[in-house]
Amino acid sequence: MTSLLESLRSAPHERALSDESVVRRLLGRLESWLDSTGEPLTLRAPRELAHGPASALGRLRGVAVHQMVRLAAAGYDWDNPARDALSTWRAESEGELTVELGRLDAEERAALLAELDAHAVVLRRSLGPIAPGWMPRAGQRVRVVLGGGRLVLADVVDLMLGVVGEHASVALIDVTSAPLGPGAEARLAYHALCQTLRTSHVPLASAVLSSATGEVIHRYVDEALLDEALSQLRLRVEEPA
Amino acid sequence: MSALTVVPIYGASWRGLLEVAPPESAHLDDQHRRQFAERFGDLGTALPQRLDAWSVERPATSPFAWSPRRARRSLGNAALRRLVAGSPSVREAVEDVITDRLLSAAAGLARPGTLAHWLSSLAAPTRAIVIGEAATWATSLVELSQALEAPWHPAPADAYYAIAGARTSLRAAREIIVTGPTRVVVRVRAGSPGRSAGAGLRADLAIDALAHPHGELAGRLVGVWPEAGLALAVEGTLEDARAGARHLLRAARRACATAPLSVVAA
Repeated sequence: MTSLLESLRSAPHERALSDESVVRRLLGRLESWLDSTGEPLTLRAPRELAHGPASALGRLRGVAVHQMVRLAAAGYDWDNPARDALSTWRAESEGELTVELGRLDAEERAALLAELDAHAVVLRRSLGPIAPGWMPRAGQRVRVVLGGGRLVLADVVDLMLGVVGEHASVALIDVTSAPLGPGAEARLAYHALCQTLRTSHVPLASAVLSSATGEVIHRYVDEALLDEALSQLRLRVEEPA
Repeated sequence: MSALTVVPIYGASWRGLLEVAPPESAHLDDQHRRQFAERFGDLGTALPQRLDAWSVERPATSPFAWSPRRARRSLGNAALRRLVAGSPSVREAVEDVITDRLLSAAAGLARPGTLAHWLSSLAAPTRAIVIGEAATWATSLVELSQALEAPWHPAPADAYYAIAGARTSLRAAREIIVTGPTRVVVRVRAGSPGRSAGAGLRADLAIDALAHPHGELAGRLVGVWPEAGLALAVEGTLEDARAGARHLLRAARRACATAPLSVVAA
């Protein structure tokens, strides 16, 4: 089975030259319809609504999987991924979800750990070892302010590979602990749009990976994908509150 | 006082901000330093204090405790220095920096509360999270520096200046020094710039000049917010440095006013 990173490594050698005119055009389109919007608005990546709101266990699974991605990006060779993920998360976090974790009885906790180990197997298979030369960045935050603050696009990319350069060379990977739903394409398009607006450079690829099922959707970023993201953004901005 | 320049990073305007010669650089002389110290001395600070751009921009800060996110800047900056010196990758550079800190802790050289002491208390998985955070920070610096055509080097450390007789020290964060026609100082922040970002940059400009052996003002002080894709810059003029000094003085007054009564009375 070819891992997601191996697929990206064998990406077409003819990579698009970074072209600031793409960003100017995107911004021009955005500004043309942002004028008519009312209150300042902050948007995040579209959620996977197909599975409904996540339960406390679902959210615990989510934070643990994100910790696994952080550990993988740091080159950590885990023996006990579930325990390592939860212990590192607890060391940094406090609040409702840590209380939920503390409330789990022995059976529930053992079931969660087993489930998380299964997610780790999928992650390891899908990502493989992440070479330092890929310049991995985990949990990369993005906050693009548009139209003088009328619209803020906030985003967190679970795993970013590569750095902005003369050629398109950045890959964005969204990892979800749920199965992929119909919103997956919209998420990867949103990540690509935010990265393009933040850096004035079009990324190479954007992907969504499910650690529950191993499903992957990945697209090389082009103007059509960015246009699609912009159209979806407009719908969200203009939809009635 | 010069107007704030705002540009997107990574593009042509970003390179221009760092490589086009700013106006002729100015200096702070002994008289400036004396006047500055007198004003701080008048405050009669009861306890030693340290001020920086954060104290100017966000007066109320929570007590400091190390965390992977709080450790990433110090470790990431040190990793950039190693990378420039020949380390093969960002990750290896970060690992080497952490190993040095751990060795110093193992040798009993790390005081409680220091980064080295905290790192030595961590389990391996949490230390890996620290490595990841620092590598993310250092990679953002590599990304910024790769867009530069002018010569540059990583800042050897932040700029520190202790105000004589005032029990106050100042610190200006800095990540990259561009050594083009004039010295340009680049400092990097997480998040996005707030309304008081200009005041913070001017405070850093003043501190950087005070810390310079000849009082030389940077040609420009550039603040970069990679998460927002933005850079803000102030010109290195005497007026901007004076404004920065006034912001610092105001922050010191605020700190004195909010100090616990027992401390003020002491």
